[in-house]
Amino acid sequence: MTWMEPETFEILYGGSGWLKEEGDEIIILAIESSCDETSAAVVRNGLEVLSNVVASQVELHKKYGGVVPEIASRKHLELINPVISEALHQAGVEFGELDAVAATYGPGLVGSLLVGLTAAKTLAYALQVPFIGINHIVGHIYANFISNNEIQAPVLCLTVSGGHSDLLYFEELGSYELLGSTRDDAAGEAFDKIARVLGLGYPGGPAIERISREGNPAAIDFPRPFIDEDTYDFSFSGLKTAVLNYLNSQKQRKAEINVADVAASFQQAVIDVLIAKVLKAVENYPVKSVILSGGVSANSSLREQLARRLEEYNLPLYTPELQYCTDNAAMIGSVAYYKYLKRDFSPLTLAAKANLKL
Amino acid sequence: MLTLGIDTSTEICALGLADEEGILGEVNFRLIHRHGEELHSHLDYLLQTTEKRIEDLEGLCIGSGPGSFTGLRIGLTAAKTLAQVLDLPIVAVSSLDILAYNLSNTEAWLLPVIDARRERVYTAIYKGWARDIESRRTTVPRAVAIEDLLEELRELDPEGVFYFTGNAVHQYQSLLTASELNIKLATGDKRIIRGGVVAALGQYYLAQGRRDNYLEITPDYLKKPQAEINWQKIHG
Repeated sequence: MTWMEPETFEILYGGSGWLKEEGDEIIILAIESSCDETSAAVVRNGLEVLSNVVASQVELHKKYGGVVPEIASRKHLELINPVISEALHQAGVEFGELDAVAATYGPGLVGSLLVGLTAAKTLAYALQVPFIGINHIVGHIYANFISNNEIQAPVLCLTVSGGHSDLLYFEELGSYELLGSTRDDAAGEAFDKIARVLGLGYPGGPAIERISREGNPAAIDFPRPFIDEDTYDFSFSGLKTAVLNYLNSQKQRKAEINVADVAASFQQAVIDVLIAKVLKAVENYPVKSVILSGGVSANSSLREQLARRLEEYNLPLYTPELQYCTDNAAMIGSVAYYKYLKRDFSPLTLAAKANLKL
Repeated sequence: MLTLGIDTSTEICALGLADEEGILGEVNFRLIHRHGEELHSHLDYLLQTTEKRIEDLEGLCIGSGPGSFTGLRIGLTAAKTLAQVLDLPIVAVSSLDILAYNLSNTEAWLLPVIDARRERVYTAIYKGWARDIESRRTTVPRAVAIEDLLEELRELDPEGVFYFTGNAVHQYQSLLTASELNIKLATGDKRIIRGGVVAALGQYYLAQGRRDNYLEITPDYLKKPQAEINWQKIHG
C-alpha cells in the first residue's frame, strides 16, 4: 500500500491522533478551476473564510461569445500559482499550517479542471496531508452555509438553476440525501426556452420575471406536472410543451397573445411546483431551516411566495450572498471540511469528471 | 544535486531522478489521457523505490513541450507547484531538446519530431550532439508540414546525414524512408522521452547555474488556440 491511498491516513496516523478531530482548528486550502474563474481559498473549520481569491477570465472570453476551453485552460495555468500564493498571503497562513488540500474535480471543462486538480494533488503530496476532491455542485450548496452561519440542521435545500433542479435534505451539515431532482429539463432551462419563444431574450429568468409583473399569473391554467404525485422529482418539459401548444393554438385561431399573461402564468406554474415539493418535504422531515440556491433563486416572486408559505411552518428561508453565488473556492473548502471530519479523503489518482452528477 | 525530471508533452508520462553520478531511477509509461491520474502515484513509487523523500529533492526539470496541450499543462502544473511549495530551483527544457539528447555522440543532423496533427510535426534542427544540447539547436522550435521540412533539409545539406527521432517517426516512416535524403531513423527505444534523461539534463543545467522563474515557465504551445485563429481570420 502506497502513501496516497486514503485509508493509509487512518492506518498510519489515525490512531496516533495525527488527523484532527471536530473542535480542533482545521485549516484547508481549496482550489476551484472548473470553468473560467481561477480561485483559491483558505477556510478554517468549514465556515470561516480566511481568504477567497477569485481571478476571473470573463473579459478574455467576451469577444468569443462564450468560454473557449483551450483559452480558459491556458489562463488557469498562468494564474494558478499566483492565486494560491495570494490566498495564503491574505489568510496569513503558511503551507506548513495546512491540514488538507481540496479541489473541484467536476463537473466542468476537463482542461480547466485538470489544472486546479493537479495543483491540489501536488500540494497535498508535497505537504503529506490529505487530498480531498469535491463536486462543484455540492460546493454551491455549501456556499449557503458560509453566507448564513446561523443555519440550523436539519436543512432542506432547493437548488434550481439552468443546469439542475434538486431537492436535498441535510440531517446534519456533513451529509445529505437527494430527495428528488428533475426528470427532464432543469427549471432555469425551462425559463430560457420559454423566454426565447416569447422573444424576451437571454438569460430567460430575469426577462420572464420582469414582464410577469405586468401579467396575470392566473390568466392561463398551465399544468403543474407531478404536483400531487408521491415523489419529490420535478418535470418541466411537459409544462414547456403546454406553453408551446397554447401559443400555437392561439396563432391558428388568430387570437391575440398577451405575452405578459403567458409569462406570468408559466412562472406561476413553475413556482407552484417548486413550492409544493418543498412543503411536502417540510411535512415529512424534521426540517429546521430551508435554503434556496442556484441561479433561479434570484427570482423574487419565488423567494417571496416560498418565504410566505414557510412562515406558516415557522421556518426561516436562507439564500446565499452574491459573492458565493458565482464560482469560488471558499465553498469547495467548506465541503472539504465536512469530508475531512468523516475521513472521506480522495486518492491522488482521482480523475477530472466533466459530467459529474450530484 | 538530486533533480526530479518531469515530461508529459507526449503520450509518455515520464518521471526520473538524477544526481551528479547519473540516473537513480525513472518511471515511463505510455498512457492515453491518464497522465493526470497517474503522475503522483508514479512519483511516489519513484521516490519510495530510490529510498528518497520529497524533501530530499534539490532541483526540478520540466519538459516544456511542444506537444499535447492538456498533457503539457498537467506536467507544468505539477512542476511549478512543486517549485512553489518546496521552494526549489527549476529549469524548463524543450521536449525537443530531450528527444535530441537521446541520440548521443554524433555530428549528424538531429531531427526530433513530435506529432502536431494535421500532417504537421513540431521540430527543431540540431547540428550534432552535445551535453548542452540546446546549444546545438540551429532553428527555433516550430510546427511545420512534414513535406516542407524535408524540402528544407534538401536545401540545407543535400549530402548530410539526418537522424530522426520522436513519436512522429512511426507515423511518417514510409515517407521518411522513401526520401532520397540520407535519413536514419532512431530505434524505438530512442524515440520516447524518458524521465531519466529529463532529470539528467536538468541536473546538468542546474549544476551550470541555470535557474528559471517558476512563475514565468509556460508551455511551448507553438500554436494559438483555434478559436483565436478563427477570430483573427474574421476580424483581422
